[in-house]
Amino acid sequence: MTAFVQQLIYGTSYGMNLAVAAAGLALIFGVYRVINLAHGQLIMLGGFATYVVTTQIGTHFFVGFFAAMAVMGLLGIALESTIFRILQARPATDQLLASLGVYMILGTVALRIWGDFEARPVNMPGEAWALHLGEDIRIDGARIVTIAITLALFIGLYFVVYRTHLGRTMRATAQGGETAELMGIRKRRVAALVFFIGGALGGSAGAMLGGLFNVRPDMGFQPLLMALIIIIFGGMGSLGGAIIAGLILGILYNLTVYYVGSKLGDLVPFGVLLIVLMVRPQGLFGLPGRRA
Amino acid sequence: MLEIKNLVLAYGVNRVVRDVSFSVAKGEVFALLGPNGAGKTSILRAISGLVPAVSGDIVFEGKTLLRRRPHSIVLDGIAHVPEGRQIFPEMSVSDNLMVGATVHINNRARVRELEARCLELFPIIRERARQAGGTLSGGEQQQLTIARGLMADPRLLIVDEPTLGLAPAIINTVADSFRKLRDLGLTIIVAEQNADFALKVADHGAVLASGELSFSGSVDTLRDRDVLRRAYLGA
Ligand SMILES: Nc1ncnc2c1ncn2[C@@H]1O[C@H](COP(=O)(O)OP(=O)(O)OP(=O)(O)O)[C@@H](O)[C@H]1O
Ligand SMILES: [Mg+2]
Repeated sequence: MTAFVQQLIYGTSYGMNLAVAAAGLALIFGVYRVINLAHGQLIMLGGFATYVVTTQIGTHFFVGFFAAMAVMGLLGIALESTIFRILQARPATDQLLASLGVYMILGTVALRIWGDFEARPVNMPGEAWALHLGEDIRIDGARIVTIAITLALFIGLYFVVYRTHLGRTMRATAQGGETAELMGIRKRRVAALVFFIGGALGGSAGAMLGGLFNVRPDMGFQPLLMALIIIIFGGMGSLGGAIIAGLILGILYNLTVYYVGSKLGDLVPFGVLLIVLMVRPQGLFGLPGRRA
Repeated sequence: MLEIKNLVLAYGVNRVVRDVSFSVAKGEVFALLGPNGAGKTSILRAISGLVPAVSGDIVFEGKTLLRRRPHSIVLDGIAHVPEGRQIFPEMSVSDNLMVGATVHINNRARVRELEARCLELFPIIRERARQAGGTLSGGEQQQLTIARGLMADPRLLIVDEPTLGLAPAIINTVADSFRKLRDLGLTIIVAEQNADFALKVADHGAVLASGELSFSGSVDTLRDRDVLRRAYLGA
């Protein structure tokens, strides 16, 4: 029972982290209609940005965290304005392949720089203490800090998307791009905004994953895969769906690793994917027949 | 106020609008008539900057609109209510309305005034404000799209096929709202297949048949001449 509660909380922190990464992917997909596989490397580079600023330069975690968000947001804008904009008139598969190309390039660059596989830790607030629930449930402070950060990110995201005019322009573009333009919405500005927020969310996920598990050049792959499954599970483009699906997936993953074995943990996302595709292909919150 | 000069539009090599010229005077309702595929929507989209012109010119208040982005055309005073309603289905009615005010959004007082004007013209919008746009009836959606266009505070309002799929009683309310808008000093261009509606609300009009202009002039002459019948029947 005590182990169960602990794994539930660890799964929640991992799942919230994945949900943050997935929310960036879902936002870009919902508004811009591209599945940006390069997102995985923005997560990884966000981790390294945090490592450089926090560990190497020696600042507080949050300095590195916000630097990672800003730099990855700008990288998102750069990718949109160079690659995706040119390919926007082309079939979705072209954009998908191009984003895979970007994924490979960024991965290779990271390997050139940090390919020695040395352990690269990022000190996170909360690492020095732990929460004791009752006799023998011990929860790392860093896990709790992660949950708090992700909650803050989701509240901020909700506020921007549902409570500001910028959010209205994003939602309008998602629901009818050309009509949105006819209403005076600047298509390019919305695209830049969405890629900035998406990239920043990826960067923040990388910063937190780096804090929890060390930073590695291949650290973007698993969260990318999980995030892809989460947005299919949650309903393509749905932010709320991504959060709930991320939580479910993260908790299932942790419980499986703990009770069944770490080798089987990786089967969880694929098992979930198979079941979702068979039972509810539109995802938790996707509308049947909605263009996806 | 708006002049279309020898306009040619094409999709690929297919020239769907050929050498069309007409002009719209300030304060009038101008009808663009013609059967399916005549090129009405293409011309309206060219005015709003969604379709590039192959040749010719579109001049609004003395300035060309060619090679301009849609948002800057809205900023200049042209709002476009697109064909097929095109409300944002998952956004609330009031959010739909506010999207229309995008170019003025930083001027809160003006947005409030514009909103008050819309609610007065279309009271149904107030009743439905919190409902998702997609749950409105066809007639309500059409009123919402016109109101949404008005939130840009345009001097020229473009409306593409407002009566499509509406019951006669609702078509009459749309006609009434056009008259009210003209009384407010707006210039309106309305594209229609429904000639009865167009002849009822418009002062001048142009008739298109497969991409070419077959008539342009006052609606009174249009009523008497048989250009309409010929355009529609291809006779
Ligand atoms: N995006 C497009 N790509 C290729 N051809 C198009 C496109 N849009 C319109 N066309 C063609 O251009 C011609 C004119 O179409 P347009 O939509 O302007 O006609 P319309 O007068 O508005 O017709 P309707 O009354 O049916 O709305 C048609 O032959 C149509 O098939
Ligand atoms: Mg049309």
